[in-house]
Amino acid sequence: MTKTLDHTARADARVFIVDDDESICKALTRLLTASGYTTEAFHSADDYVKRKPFDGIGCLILDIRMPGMSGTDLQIHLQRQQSSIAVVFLTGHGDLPVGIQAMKRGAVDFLTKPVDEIALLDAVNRALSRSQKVHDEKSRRADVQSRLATLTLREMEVLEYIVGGARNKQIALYLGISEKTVKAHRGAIMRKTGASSPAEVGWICSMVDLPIRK
Amino acid sequence: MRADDTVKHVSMSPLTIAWSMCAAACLMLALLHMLLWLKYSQNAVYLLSSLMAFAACASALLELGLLSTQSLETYRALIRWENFAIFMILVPMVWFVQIYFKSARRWLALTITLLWSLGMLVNFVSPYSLTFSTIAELKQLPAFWGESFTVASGTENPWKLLADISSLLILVYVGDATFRSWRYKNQREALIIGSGILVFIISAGIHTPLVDAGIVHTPYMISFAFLAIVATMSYQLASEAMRSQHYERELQQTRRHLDQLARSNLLGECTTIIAHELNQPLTAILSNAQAARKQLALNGAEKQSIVEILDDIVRDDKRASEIIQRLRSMLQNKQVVRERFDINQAIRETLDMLKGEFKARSISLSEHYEASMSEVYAGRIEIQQVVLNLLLNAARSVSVPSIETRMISIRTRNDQNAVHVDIQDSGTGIASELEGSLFNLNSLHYESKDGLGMGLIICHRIIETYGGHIRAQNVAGGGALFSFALPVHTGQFR
Repeated sequence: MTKTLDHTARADARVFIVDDDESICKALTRLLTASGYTTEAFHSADDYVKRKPFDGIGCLILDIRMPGMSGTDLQIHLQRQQSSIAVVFLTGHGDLPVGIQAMKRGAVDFLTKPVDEIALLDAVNRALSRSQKVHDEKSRRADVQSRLATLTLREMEVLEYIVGGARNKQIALYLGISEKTVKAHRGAIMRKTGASSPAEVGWICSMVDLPIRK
Repeated sequence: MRADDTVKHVSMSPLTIAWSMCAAACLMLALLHMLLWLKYSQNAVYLLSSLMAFAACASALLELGLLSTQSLETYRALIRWENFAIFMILVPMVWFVQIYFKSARRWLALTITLLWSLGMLVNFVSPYSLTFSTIAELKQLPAFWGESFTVASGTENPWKLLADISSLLILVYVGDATFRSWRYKNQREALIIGSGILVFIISAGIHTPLVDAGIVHTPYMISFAFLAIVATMSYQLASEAMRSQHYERELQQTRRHLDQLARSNLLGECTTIIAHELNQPLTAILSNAQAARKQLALNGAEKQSIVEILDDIVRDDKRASEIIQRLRSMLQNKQVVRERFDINQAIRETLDMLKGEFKARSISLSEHYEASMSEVYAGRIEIQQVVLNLLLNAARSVSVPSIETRMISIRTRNDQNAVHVDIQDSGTGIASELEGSLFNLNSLHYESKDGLGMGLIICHRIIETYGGHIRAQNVAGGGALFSFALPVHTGQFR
């Protein structure tokens, strides 16, 4: 219950419902709204795709067998977009191979209709936690990327050598500059990335794929 | 003395008794075979053996006439007809063997028939029949029990050679057919019928010259030999008829079981579809009820919103019970009743059950109903089962990943005599090796993996029961077309 409050407290967390059955969309919307979630319902996967891509913390309650684009297709589509939305399947055909495939592709749960509210809300919460993790990771990476973007070309070069484990003297030799200049670049790098130690610089850089020079 | 005289006068001679009984036995067998032929009219062996037995009966009576006549003129006429009777025995016998032993040599049968036909021509053209050129006199010979009988003496007709040769050919023909049949398969039948014919023909063939030569003092007994042959055939044919009746009963029982199996197969498939469809309203009902409870638990629930939820629950509940109703009416196992009905309506009802499934599988359905359809007179539920079966097959066939356009079209047409229903799909089509035999029990093992074959066999039988026909073919450009037709109800059955 505390978990529920965690996510429902966040106004930007969103639960999407995609099901071709209008009645089900309506009922799930009611249930989730009454449970404190912000919801959006769609009658087909195609309708969902037409929506502006959602980049926040989100859970998608997804039927598999639908006219047009299937639930599985939509899951793959989201994966390609590296969306932070976590998928919970809710289907009338709970067949095992389909479920296994869906879980392998990273679904949070595979529920069969009719679903009890406890199971549904539990899955939704886990999905939102997962989504939050993915989302946080994504924003941290974006943050690091934006900080690294402020470095000059020369500073980037120096950074790459630092991550590779080179000493100031070696870097000076490689780049044909004085050791003092290297030290000055190092200071600028620490300041711009907000790192307090060379180890932290390394950790920050590991979040983005930085070429390493040795 | 007087009393003795009277007794002598009244008592029949052994000759008369024996030959009359032979004729009676032949007649009885002839009638029996005729009955069998009427029952199994597709089997010509019964007709042939019946003909043989009639001819053997005639031959026995003619022989009796020959043995007791005193007049040369009568003898001349009788022997002509006796020869004809023998011809009518031997030729059907040869063709009996031809049909019964499939391995018999046809050209021999044809040659024998031709030779005997020539013999018959001579028999009726020459003055003293095929047997004699001239008859000098009629002699009375004593049989060993004392009674005397008539024998003719005269010169032999040279054309009799025709009959002799063909008799020899018959021996070769039957012997060869028996041997080959015995070697390959039908051992018991071959031995009984083949050796029966051979033994009695050979014994008649030995006996006759012995009588001719005056060594044995008995009349000719050709009709007895034939009686024995016909009796042998009767034994064999009757036991076969009995066995085939037994098989027929068994086959019918197997068919009933297959029917039940197919029906439960269809039931299983429908249940899956129905279960899926039922899940939808049930899911909505459950979630709506839980939402209402939640809203009520939060103090600010508006009355209006609870009423809306309850309305939706009622609607979904009705939807669920309609689905169950459809399944029940489709698959109820009660006695099939023939009724007059509009086939368009029956098809629409069947489609109602499948529309959700088709939608979920992204199958597009096109329906073309002829507006003024004549009514048919059949088991409505059975016809709906046929439609259901064909639609499920079509759905299966288009649901293969390699099929891009998933289309099923159903069309009804009307002509003067029949109502036509075409169900076409854009699926994988019918495997070429099955195209001709799809409704045949033999094709079952090809397709048992998905139960397709069974359903089609049942469809076939249902449609045929109501005097219709069903066909399947591949369509140019991919997919299959299944069409069935049912006779228009003319009102005369009622």
